[in-house]
Amino acid sequence: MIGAAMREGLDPELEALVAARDDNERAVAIEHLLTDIADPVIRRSLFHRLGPREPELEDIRGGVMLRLVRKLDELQRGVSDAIGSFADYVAIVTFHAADDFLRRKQPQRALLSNRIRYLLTHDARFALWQFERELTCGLAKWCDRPANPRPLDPSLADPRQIGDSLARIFARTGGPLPFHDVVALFAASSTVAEVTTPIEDADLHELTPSAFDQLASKQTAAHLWREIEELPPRQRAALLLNLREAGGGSAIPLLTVTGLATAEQVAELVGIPAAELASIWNDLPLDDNTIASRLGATRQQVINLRKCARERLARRLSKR
Amino acid sequence: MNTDEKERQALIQALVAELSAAEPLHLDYDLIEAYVDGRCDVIDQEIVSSHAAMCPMCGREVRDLQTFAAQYRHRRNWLPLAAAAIAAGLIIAIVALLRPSATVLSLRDGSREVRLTRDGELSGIAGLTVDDERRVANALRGGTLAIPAAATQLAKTGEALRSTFTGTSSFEPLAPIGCIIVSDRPTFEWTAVPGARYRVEVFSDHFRPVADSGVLDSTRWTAPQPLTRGGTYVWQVTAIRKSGETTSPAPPAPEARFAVLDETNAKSIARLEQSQPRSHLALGVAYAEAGVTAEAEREFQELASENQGSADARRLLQSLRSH
Repeated sequence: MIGAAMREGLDPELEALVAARDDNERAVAIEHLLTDIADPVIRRSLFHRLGPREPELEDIRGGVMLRLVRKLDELQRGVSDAIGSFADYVAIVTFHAADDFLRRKQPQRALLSNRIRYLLTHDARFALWQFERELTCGLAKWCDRPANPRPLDPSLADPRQIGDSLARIFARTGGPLPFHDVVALFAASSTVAEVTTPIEDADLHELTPSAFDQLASKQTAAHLWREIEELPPRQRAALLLNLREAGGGSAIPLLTVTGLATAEQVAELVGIPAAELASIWNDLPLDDNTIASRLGATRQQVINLRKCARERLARRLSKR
Repeated sequence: MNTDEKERQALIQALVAELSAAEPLHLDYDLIEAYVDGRCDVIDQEIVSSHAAMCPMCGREVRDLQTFAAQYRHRRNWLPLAAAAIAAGLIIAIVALLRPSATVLSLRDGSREVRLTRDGELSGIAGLTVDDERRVANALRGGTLAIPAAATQLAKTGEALRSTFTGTSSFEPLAPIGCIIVSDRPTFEWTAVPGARYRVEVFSDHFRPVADSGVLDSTRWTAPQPLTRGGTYVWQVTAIRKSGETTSPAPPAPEARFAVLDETNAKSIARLEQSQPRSHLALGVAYAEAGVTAEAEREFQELASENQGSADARRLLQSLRSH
């Protein structure tokens, strides 16, 4: 059940979902959100970034949909922050999905994009800004104006002289351009030779759930625990304080019940005095905001620390 | 399984579920930049360095931007915007070259002699509407054509696309590209790929599919259903071979765009084609000012060949090509 506080600032499109009283109402609300709002935004965003014939387009779209379903589920269960604009949220998730895909598929282009962006934000002649969801760039004096996409001659762009090239390009256009068009212009210049990286190779360290299942069958609880002990302190705390067993309760008591660690050892590992851990024992698992305040971090940093912990464990376990 | 073993399994399951539920972390640009510039707090520093050590993609990006930023800081290059001044000078020079000059002229147009008097009156083409006559007289008097901005923009997209195809053996769309076409059932053409079959897909300006050829054996296909007049479209062709599929154009190349002439101009041109089938001058001006530049080029070339040595006929052709 969602709280009244969370309803504040909630996109009205999401009201039906959070007010759903049964599975049927929930399914109808999700169907509407995904079909009528998310799908057109995803298609348009992916078309703009990747073109209509990218072979992996449907996979990326499916991945975005999956993330949205998870998010909507969290939202309805009240374990997610309110979303002020669902369409904006979809656009951001899609942007990141397309961005990650392009970064993996076209690593040279990703490096080039970073360099151009760095110049745009550090060279006083230029600026980079958002205009109605679109990352826009141009001369500093054009800041906050909308982009006016137009075809340009790739010979204007020399990746070895990005600053001079940007000055030439903006002098030719006389107005701001979409940032991604500028990157495409540089990428289209003959001096950039993109070697497409097979996605599988780039993602070897990202193990799938089934791979984890296989791994789990080879691991003992003691092995897993030893690896967790090796994690950096903040990552360990972010992981353990939020770790849940299948029923949703904290998995920390399992550590003591199975004899893998005493409560004192757990306390030391998560950086909390034993007496204090005992006092919050029944509140475990802690939510991200609570962990964040304990670590002196932001909620997003807690999420990222936990992701770091996960990938470090995944890497180490996969090598066993 | 005893209770102790069940709890061990529950613990392993909790850890495995935790690990496998994770969406991968990838560093976004802002975080990488803050790290490179030394603006991260200690927690973000740990996140970036930890992840960069695990993820080849992000690790490479962090190292590359560190190198680039270091180079940039060491050689800031504050060159004046000379390029802008040069570009502005070039524009001024071109405008000066195209400045209208002729005011009285005479041209052969098919079997007739077209004359423009000093006070701007046109004679020699009977049956023109007042608007058509005014358009032709203005074009002759100024030597310039009012090409719609949309046509000029489209033409630039076509040039940008063609410039990406440099090899003689490249698989590329040929037509329509970067133009406005009169027919609402366009014929698509592309270069051949040995041993390939093809598929053409046409999308609206909002990237909705509007036509699909299915699998073809030839390098030419005409849309069986009319496209909406006044619309702008994007198309791609895919070569299908046993070894795989290749689509052209594909990002990052520009899109293959074209537009279908709007209803009003289409009717106006159809009427003129019927009433003045042999007037290269009237048809050329009408095509040009509707933005149908390919047909206008053909008519003005005919006009120029009928008036060899005439600067006035040549000027119309030049005006068309300068857009």
